[in-house]
Amino acid sequence: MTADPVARRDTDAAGEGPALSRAPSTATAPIQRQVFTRGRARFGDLLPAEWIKLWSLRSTAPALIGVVALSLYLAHADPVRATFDGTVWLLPMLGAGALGAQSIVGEHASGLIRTTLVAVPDRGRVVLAKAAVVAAVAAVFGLVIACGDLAVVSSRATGFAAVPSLAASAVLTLACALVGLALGTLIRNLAATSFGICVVLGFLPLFLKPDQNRWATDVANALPYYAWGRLTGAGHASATTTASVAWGTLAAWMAASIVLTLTTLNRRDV
Amino acid sequence: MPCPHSGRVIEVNELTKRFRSVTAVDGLTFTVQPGRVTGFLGPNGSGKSTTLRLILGLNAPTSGTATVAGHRFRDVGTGLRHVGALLDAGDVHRGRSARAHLAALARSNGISRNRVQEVLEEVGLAGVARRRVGGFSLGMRQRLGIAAALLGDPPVLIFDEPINGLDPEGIRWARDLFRRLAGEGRTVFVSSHLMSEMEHTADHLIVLGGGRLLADESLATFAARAPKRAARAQQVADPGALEAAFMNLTADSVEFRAGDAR
Repeated sequence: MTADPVARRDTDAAGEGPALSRAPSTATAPIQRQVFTRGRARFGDLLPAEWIKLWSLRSTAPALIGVVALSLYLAHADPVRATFDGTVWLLPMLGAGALGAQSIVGEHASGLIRTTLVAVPDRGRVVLAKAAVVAAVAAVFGLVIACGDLAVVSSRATGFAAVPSLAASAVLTLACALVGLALGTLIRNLAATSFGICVVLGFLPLFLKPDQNRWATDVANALPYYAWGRLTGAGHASATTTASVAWGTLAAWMAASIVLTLTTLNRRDV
Repeated sequence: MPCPHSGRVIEVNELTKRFRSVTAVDGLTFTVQPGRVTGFLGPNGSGKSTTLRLILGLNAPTSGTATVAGHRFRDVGTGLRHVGALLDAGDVHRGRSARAHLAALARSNGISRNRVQEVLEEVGLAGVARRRVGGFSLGMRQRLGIAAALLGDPPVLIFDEPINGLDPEGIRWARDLFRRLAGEGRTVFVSSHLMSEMEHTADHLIVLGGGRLLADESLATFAARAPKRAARAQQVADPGALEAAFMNLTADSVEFRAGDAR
């Protein structure tokens, strides 16, 4: 959206030129006052808007802090004391998915989506801004838990050796948030979306494992959970795939989620 | 096209919207001009809200076009600068405060923070700005919706049933606001099912029935449609006459919908 013909026309109307004359009953002063901080809004304005929306809900911060605390407690209580406990990590995965889902389901459930799209009619920009904010928060959320895991279980490799694991954990929660956003956009109902997230992110990796038959192994390797396991050595770490394939898997989930969100919202009557 | 007011004209052309087997809007054509309040009337389910959603790009038309200032609204980058709209007072997240709701909207369009306070004061919600919208009455939510519509100081304003839930003082305030906005040269398009309300607010009427255009004329012309018995005095100010004209007209539309040619 580089060209904004309406904006140009209005700028003309506010300046000189014949467009200034309007309804005979009114004065010739421009009717629009200076309420805009700049000529026209940019994509950069949408990010802080989504940021305000996320944190102005009272439940956001306590929920995220609660999941961090519970994850770290469970990692601490784990007798094996593996740095990244696979099953415990399902918790931040589902939490990140819920974060992504809430950002769009909340708008659909309340009808706010209509108010949002009247303010910003270009739906692609709204989706990208929402995805960017949710992804950033989810990545920090995953990184905090991963760092906490390392601190709690200090026996394992720390320092530079831990960097790929930390990065993979941050990318995992980021991808889960985008999956939640996509499912939320598609389903629009909070209960059904939560169920969908639990199935896709939680139930599938418990049901399909990479050491079963060929078909199950291939599907399992394509799940975010096992891609992350391959990169961190957590859970049922798969020996049947490489690190680069695992990174590619996470990237594919992120890309597919954004494409699904964009196409769904663009086609739909709200 | 290069009309001096084209920056604020709403144009609807052969607009049709079908939801599966139901035709909500059927070949609608009209324009809404600036500098006056245009009332959008019709019984429940006549397609008013659908038409407004089509104009605002929230729904995609089955056929036909709806434009604001000559452009499809979906193609506009920053909406609040061009159109302010209150479609449904419930279109707000109940968990947010009034201020946070407006702050997010303002930020998304690059509107200054001061403006949020300004519109909160204008609609009389400054005192409760920190309270969550979930605790607001319908009237307070209507005021919040009007505040959101005013944020960008837009040349075109659309209000869907804005009077519902407002107290008598609020109704008078809203009426004066719409008239003032139109007096400033803006396009003001207000839907209602209350003929009596339109009588005090609108200069021009667009009447829908069964998704079709029944009337597009000035308030005075519309009043002249009143059945003889009700329009004894032929005065625009006689609410009974207007009400009767409205009932008469929309009753006809039901008849025509049954398959009779006009």
